[in-house]
Amino acid sequence: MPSERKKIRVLVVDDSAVMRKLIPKLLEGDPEIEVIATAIDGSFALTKAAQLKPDVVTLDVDMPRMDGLTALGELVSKYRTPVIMLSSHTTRGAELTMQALEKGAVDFVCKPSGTARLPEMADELVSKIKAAARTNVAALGNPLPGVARIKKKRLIEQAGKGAGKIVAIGASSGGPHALRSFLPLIPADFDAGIVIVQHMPESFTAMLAQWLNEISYLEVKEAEAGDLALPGRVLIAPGNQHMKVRKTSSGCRVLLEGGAQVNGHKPSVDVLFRSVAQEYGSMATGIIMTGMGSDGAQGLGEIKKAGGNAVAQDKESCAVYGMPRIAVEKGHADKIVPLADMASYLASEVGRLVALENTHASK
Amino acid sequence: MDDLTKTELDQLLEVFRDQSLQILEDMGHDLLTLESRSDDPEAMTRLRRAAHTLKGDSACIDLTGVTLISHKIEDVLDAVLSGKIAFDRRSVDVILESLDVVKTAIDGSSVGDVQPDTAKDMVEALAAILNSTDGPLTSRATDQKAPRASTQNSIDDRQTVIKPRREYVRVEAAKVDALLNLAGEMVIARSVIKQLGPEIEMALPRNEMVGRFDGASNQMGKLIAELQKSVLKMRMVTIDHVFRRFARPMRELAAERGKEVELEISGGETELDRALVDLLYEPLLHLLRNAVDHGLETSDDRRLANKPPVGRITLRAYHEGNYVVIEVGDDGRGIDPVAVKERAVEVGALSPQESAHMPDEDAAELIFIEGLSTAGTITQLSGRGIGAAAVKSAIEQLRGSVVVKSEPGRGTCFTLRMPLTLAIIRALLFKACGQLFALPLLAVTEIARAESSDIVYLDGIENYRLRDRFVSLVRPGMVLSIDRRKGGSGASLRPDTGHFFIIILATAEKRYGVVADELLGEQELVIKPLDSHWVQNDALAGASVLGDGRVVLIMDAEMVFRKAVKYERGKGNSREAYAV
Repeated sequence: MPSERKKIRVLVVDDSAVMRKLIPKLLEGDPEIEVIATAIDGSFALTKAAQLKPDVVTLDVDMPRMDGLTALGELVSKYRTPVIMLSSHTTRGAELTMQALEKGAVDFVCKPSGTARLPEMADELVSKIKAAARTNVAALGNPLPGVARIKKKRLIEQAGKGAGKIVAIGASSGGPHALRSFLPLIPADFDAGIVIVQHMPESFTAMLAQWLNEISYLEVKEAEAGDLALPGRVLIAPGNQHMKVRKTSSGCRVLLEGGAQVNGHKPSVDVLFRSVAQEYGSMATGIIMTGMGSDGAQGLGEIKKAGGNAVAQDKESCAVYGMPRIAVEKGHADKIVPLADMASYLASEVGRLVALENTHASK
Repeated sequence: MDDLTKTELDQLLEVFRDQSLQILEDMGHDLLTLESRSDDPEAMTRLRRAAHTLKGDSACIDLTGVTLISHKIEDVLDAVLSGKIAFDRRSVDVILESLDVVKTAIDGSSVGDVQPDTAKDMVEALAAILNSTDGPLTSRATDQKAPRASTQNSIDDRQTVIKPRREYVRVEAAKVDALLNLAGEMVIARSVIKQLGPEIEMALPRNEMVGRFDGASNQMGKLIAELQKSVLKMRMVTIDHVFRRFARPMRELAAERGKEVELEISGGETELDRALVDLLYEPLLHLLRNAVDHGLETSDDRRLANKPPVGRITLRAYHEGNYVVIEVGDDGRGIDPVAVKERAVEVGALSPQESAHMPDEDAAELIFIEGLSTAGTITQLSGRGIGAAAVKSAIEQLRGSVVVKSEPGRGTCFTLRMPLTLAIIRALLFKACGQLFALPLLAVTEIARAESSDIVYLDGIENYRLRDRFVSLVRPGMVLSIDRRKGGSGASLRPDTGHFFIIILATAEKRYGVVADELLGEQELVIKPLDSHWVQNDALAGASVLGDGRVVLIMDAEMVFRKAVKYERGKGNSREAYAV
């Protein structure tokens, strides 16, 4: 009974009157969400947060007097309020968004470009707000001890190396934080290439890669066409392009393609997973992680069908239990793994595959 | 969510327009600041944020042309910030032009987008700035590090320096006005209560409640007065709102006239009534234009006169009691007293004798005489002229005054004084020919009680002997054409009493009396504009509604007399409508 449940009380912070009018409008259709107030800058946001104790804050970055990042720091540390950033669709916007995620913002939504995109943005914002309301803010954004500024091993692009197995990951809402919490735990000698589709706009994916790279033992980069998926390397599909893998004589390379959205997304997890199933069969590992919608569920099924390892993140650790739920419900997932165990699970799974490879080799 | 409805989109567009017009104005101001002082990181930060907001907002409501232009402006600003190009006159001009294009598009009868062709042209013009590498590059070559350093500063400033500033709430002006009206009504309601005091005392003699009632009533009166004052303050805005609008036209005019001008503005934080702000723009612009056009000499002439080549125009505002004072000064050639006097004699405004007796320092005031200033010769000679009379009358409409002081060779200074607020006046309420009237108490010097036998005719005009001199009389009903036949009020309508009142007024021009049947006391009135029926009549300053719903017509003390004089002349002294 949504009407009887306590509504999620939202504070909207933006220096533009247009946005302060538009965002509540986008949210008003949802029975579980209530915009309790708006604020025109970071400083007012803090005052109102103290008075009204909102459940979730949507926060613009660029504001006079006190900008979003400054306000975010205090909202998170002092009030433990879940914050969703409203970002502009630019390189600078992406950069600031990553900083915000690092400072403890739960998630972000890009400001709309055009009225045609409004319903879509409204859906995204609504589900992210709902997810944010359930988030334990204290657990976010804390720098991982001892992994910052890691000196990396230089990767040697050796032909055929590691071409035997691959880990493909698909994530959407809540993904950046989830990736941030487990990728740094994967050791430098991890013996499989990792390819990731994280639903994100252009320029954000590059920032995400850079952000993850700084705290990981592995080399994390935004994929460029023809990049080798090597052990020790993580390739993130660039926004607005689909990513596939293809085994070649020189190793496993990624292909980038334009074309239509699949399941409403580009890059699409399904596209990546299908190509992984096709190219790697039983040596493929697919992990479907937090996010709304159903992208990746089908692809995970194909990995499973090809004899690969089909994994879904568990409900409790998902910010938004959407994509993994569909995969589990359709029976496409073999294993359900909590986020906290994901790194060790992968290590043991790849270990198993290595052993398998070795037995093959010795035969 | 479904798509936005038409109404919702219209609402958004309206919000967008209101906000963007403000943004555009601020941007223009910041651009000019940066043009003169390129190292103002705060102006730069504001400018970039403004362009960014404009871009983001316009994008989400499909104003693609605006988005394209503001995006390009952002690029230009980024290039300036990174030291790739510098703000020069030309780039500022192009950005200003693009802001104008956006303004024109969104400020129509409906909020519209910039036409695709225009947007494309504008974007190209802006892109041309980005690609121009001549001037600025040289300056960069000499000091490669400097621009980068300032970039760093501006970003740091934004993120770490949070200056304590006053906090603001945006309220629709009409809401404040409604509050002001209510406060006005409370004043009236409370005066009713006050009048009850003596009656209660009569009804309940020696009752201690009477004292308490009076005390409470007085306390309430004080509080209401405070309330009224506070609300009035809410309507106050800083004069900066007007001042900052001048930088651009002045810059353009100076360039056009080939003069070097420095506009020095001070006292921008001075507050005055919102209603005044808009009304002041034209007269001030007029004075500033004249200063550039006629007041200031060319650089060459200035050098010859041993003056700094750059002419200086000062615009200064400050408070003086309940008045706001604005000075417009220049250090130009001043007004030539001889030439002005000659011209005044020529147009018949001054007799040769008067001219001879008039001290030179008073001569400058002659430029306010209507008809004098329009003459081409005097404009040249005096360095002043067109429209000084128009400025004076505009300021007087605001119940203000203008004084001019000029020193030949040293410059001219106009001083404008206006009441802080237009909205409330203390007025004397009276009745004439059955209608309620009010006159500003400021203009009233005294009130006399008269009988019809006290009235004498001088030159066919009614006069009243006040001690040792005669004052002309004006009958409100006649001036306002309420009752032509009877000529309005006075004893003729109230033969039973035979008594009436004469309100003596002193205005800048003359002392005269207004005939009243009945005096109702003084009261603070909230002036409201008149509806169309009365608009034609400039003898009225406005109207007000009393607590009991009665309408009071507020007379303009200055205009009433002029109107009466005109009326007298018009009817050629025939007095049938005037019979007492």
